Amino acid sequence: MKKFLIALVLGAGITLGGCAGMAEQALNLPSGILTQSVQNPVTRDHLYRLENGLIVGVTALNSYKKLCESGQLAANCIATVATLQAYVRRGRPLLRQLRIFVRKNDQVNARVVFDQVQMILVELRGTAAAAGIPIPQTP
Amino acid sequence: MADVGRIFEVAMTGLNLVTSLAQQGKDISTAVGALTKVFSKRPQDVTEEELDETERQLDELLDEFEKPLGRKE
Repeated sequence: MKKFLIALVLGAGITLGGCAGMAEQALNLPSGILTQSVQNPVTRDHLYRLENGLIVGVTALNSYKKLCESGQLAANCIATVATLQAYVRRGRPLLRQLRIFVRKNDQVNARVVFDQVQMILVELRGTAAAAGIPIPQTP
Repeated sequence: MADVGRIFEVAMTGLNLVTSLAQQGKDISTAVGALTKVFSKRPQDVTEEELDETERQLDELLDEFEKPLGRKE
């Protein structure tokens, strides 16, 4: 009986895992997103840490922008600020969506948008680092 | 252990950033406050009001950064 139950549980696990994979393909979602969103949820705590990390980073960006405006940096800082502003414009609508999904505990969409925000942050950090602005990662 | 390493890395980058801002004579209160919040809260401690306040502060900073640059080439 015990062996039968173990086999049943294992079978169900494999079947459900397969279903998640098929659903991801059907919905054109990134691989692993349906299972990942359950195993590694984006909680209010994640959002809180992300946003506080961003406060530190954007404080640095504003500081760089002010130094650029006052003429204390080389003229190429103008292009750097424009590039960084483009990342911010791309990221803000996603951040607004993320706030809504996390509050509704819509984990599938929250995970998708959280990962998109992280991708933009990776690009932003790269551009900022090249200009000598250290943007901390969020834990 | 990987988490500890990552948190240490974040802390060091954040502290370097705050030190750099302070050396430039910038107001570091917002950055220090945010950095403290990243590390001091346990998951169950975050209230809706704190989250709202964090979002308001971040939106203000993002608004400021999005304003056009007051310097032309």
